[in-house]
Amino acid sequence: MSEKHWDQKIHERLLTGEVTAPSELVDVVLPLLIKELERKNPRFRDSELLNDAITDALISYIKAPLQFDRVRLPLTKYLIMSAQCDFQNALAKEKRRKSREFTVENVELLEDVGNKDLRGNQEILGPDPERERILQHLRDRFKNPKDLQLLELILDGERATETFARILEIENLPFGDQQRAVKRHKDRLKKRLERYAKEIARDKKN
Amino acid sequence: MQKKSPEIKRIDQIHRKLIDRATDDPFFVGWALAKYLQIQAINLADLASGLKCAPEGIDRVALCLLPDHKKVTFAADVQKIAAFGPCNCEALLHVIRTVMSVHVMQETAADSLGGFLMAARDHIEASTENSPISPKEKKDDLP
Repeated sequence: MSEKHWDQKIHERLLTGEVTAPSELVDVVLPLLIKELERKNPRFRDSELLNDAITDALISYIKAPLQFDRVRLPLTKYLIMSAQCDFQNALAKEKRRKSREFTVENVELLEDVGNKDLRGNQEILGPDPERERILQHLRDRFKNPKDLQLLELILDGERATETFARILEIENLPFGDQQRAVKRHKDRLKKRLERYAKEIARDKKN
Repeated sequence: MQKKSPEIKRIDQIHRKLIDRATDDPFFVGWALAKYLQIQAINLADLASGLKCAPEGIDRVALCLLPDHKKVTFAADVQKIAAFGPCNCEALLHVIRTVMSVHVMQETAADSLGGFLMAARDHIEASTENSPISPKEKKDDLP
């Protein structure tokens, strides 16, 4: 059966309340949804936010199939779009929540790098727009896109080795090797941050 | 035992999440299965054995729509689910009927209790209004 034909059939069966239709839909669509959402959001593979978005999109459609207009786009595309939308909303909410905790997170980070000058700089610490400013400063200094991704994770308070390992593309190494490699990269970035902080402090003095 | 690939593990993980959601929602058979476990105080393995169903079958059944026991299609719908699982149709019918009976009884009991409480409240209000000394008058009588 072609994908289009299958889409129509399963949708009609959900509309008529055919009892096994939700389970059949999940069997077929779930692997596609996971694959596509992870492709769109590689940094968030395995994250609860992504899992919740996929779950919410499926349950929401199963319970109210009328929300889908099959004239506009195929069912799988609609479900991907719906899950991606849910995910982005949840992510924005999470970022807002994190930005409220941002000052605390930064103090922690800066204590890690032993940077007293930057910690005291209220122009750099602050709510969301300030975070963007920090990132902009970092973008000016760190040209390697992977380094920037790693720094963003550090700023977001991410601690899971797996998340860093994915960016470094070393997730296939044994976990111990991943941990060592991630630590090496973090130490390297922290040293550069320390240098950067000293430069800021020197510029402020002059 | 063959090791599962990361992709299969991910699918299993989110599938499990969906089933957890289904157990909380009377829209799904999963809700009835979870209720049955509570009512009978049994575990999932007991249920699977009673339904003559593999664990994967239980998961498939859990995500089906819960047939409406008031509809004429009820028995046919349960039969479809049993064939899809697959699991024993009679046993599944028994599970859903048991859960629905207990659920209806619980709802009736809750309604009765609600009705009783409302009647009691009305009675108290009426007896206060008809009382020779209403709270207001009583207050006014105070020096």
